[in-house]
Amino acid sequence: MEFKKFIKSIKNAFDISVSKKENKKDKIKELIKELKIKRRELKNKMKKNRNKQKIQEIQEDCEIITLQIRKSKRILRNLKND
Amino acid sequence: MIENSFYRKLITPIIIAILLVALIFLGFYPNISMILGGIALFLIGMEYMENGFRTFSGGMLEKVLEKFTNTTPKAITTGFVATSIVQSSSLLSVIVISFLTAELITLASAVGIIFGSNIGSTTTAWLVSMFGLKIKISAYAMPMIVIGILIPIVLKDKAWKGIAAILIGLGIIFLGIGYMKDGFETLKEGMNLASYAMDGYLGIFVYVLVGAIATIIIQSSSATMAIIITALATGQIEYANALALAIGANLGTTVTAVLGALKSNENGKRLALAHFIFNMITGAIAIVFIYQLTDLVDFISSLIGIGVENYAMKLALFHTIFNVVGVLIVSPFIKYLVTFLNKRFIPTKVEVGKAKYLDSSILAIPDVAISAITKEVQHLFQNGFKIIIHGINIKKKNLASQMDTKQVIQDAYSSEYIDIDKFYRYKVKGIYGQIIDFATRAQGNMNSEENSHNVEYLYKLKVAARDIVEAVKDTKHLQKNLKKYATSNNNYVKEQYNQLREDLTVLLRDINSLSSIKEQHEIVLVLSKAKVHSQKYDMLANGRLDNLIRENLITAEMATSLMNDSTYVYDISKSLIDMAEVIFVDATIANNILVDDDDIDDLLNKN
Repeated sequence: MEFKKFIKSIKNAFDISVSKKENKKDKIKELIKELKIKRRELKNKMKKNRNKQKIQEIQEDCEIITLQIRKSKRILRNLKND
Repeated sequence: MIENSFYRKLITPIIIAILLVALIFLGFYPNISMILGGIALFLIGMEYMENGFRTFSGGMLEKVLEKFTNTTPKAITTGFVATSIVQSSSLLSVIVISFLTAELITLASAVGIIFGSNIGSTTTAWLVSMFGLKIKISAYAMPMIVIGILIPIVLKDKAWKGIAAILIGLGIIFLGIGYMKDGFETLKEGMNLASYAMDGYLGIFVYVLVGAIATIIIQSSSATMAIIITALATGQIEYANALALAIGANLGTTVTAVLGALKSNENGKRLALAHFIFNMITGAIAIVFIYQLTDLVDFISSLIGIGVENYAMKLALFHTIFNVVGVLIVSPFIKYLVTFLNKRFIPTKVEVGKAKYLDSSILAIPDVAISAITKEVQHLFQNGFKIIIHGINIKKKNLASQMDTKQVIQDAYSSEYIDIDKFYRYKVKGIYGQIIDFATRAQGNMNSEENSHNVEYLYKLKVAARDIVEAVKDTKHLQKNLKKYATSNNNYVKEQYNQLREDLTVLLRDINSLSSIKEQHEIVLVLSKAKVHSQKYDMLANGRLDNLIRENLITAEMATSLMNDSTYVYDISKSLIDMAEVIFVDATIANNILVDDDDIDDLLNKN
């Protein structure tokens, strides 16, 4: 896996075989993955919290993350359809 | 004045007259004109090859130079490989100076590249001694030129055009060497230059000087090396003198660089001096240890199978060895050299309202120009952001603190609101104008298809710069009523204006935090959240305003002012978020990546 990543980073650096579109797709996939992790962390934090205001704030953040994931997936779909 | 213009008018006819005399003179000496014609062809071939590699690589050379130079060994290796392939150390110098100006690489890396480039430039001698002298012109050089001419007619791709130019270049180089060789051979019949051979250290010094002067005149050490090798191969000069000429060529090339740097910026001067110091030290080592180095060349030649009598290749080996030795000796001191160069050439301090990164030397390299403009937009943002913060009378240091937002707006920056117009003219207007001018000129060099993404990004950068300017101007409009109602007797309107300041402060805090965030998903999230919040605050502000009007707590004039000013707050937020998406989010994904307005509406209506 690490080796694959290494090869990809070299290909990226030289702009060989990895097209701009592919590069964008990969970065958006990575973004979605990170956002999902972040949302999971926030949800865990919410379970442990007792402060109502804090819980509401975290809930709002989670909703925004969900929106952001949805938007990113939409872009990804459009890229695949192009 | 009149005398000056009179003399100036005379220069062109004098030059034409000299050239005509030279032409007539050369007509009487066909062998000399053959040698000079060979040198001219060699130089034309080099230029073809340089342009060909630039076209073929399509910006790859710049990318490699930017990415693989973070340590001295890497920088030296990259400089060596790049120059060996491109066969032009001057092209590399131009790119490196532009990188330094745009702050894409450090001075230490740039010096490393130049050192490596010195070794790389010795490959020309190998090319000439291994192939140039042996190649049958009719069998290789001519077909290369013919194929090079035919390729672009058949294949339209840019890379093929580059390959074609390289082939033509190589063909012309070999043709030039052929003419030089023939010229020297014919010259031998009437005049033997070898009879001027000189022994000992006197000979070394004289020939070093001749090599240096020849290179200063021709402006190419590669061409001088080609002349030396062909003269050596035809027996017109002796091996020992050829070695001294090679050292001279190395010294002469630095004079060309230093002369070129006189008109350059500090980075150009630093690099030229580094090159000069390096070549002087290397030259001195080569002169002092010339006999030991000759023995080393003989030893290595016997190991790698270079014949005892093959002086041309031995010269190429000598050229490489003394440059490698120079790099090995000088490179451990790069750190000290950099400190010295930085002290020697202190950059003129950039005025506050002037661009910091836009140097016309980088216009020709699209990727570097884009990086410089990005940095300049960030510079514009820093200036504009400060004006906005101080414009609504809050302190910048409080934004980054843990202080409650209410406290932040209470802790005023100054007793009176600043004059935004004055600061706009002083800190923003000039830079903005320079960015637009530079970006427009840079776009002129991005006509090709592979630069379409650069043109697209350039447009975004221009819009981002405009967003900063718009945000500052909107703050100016907002400030008018912030000032007016700060001392109002109506507490309701006063409170509303403080609320607007508070809403804007929350947004400014988010934007301020971006420069310290490294993860892309965090940046995207902060901006999407800011987008949601700005829409939410706008809705809330409208709701509060409706209540105040309904309950007759504010006058109609106050109501319209509040309505306009909450729109200004919304517009400032929108401009800053849009701008931040361009300059903080990775350029690959920064295209409408943030949450949509429709999605935000759904979310806010749901809550």
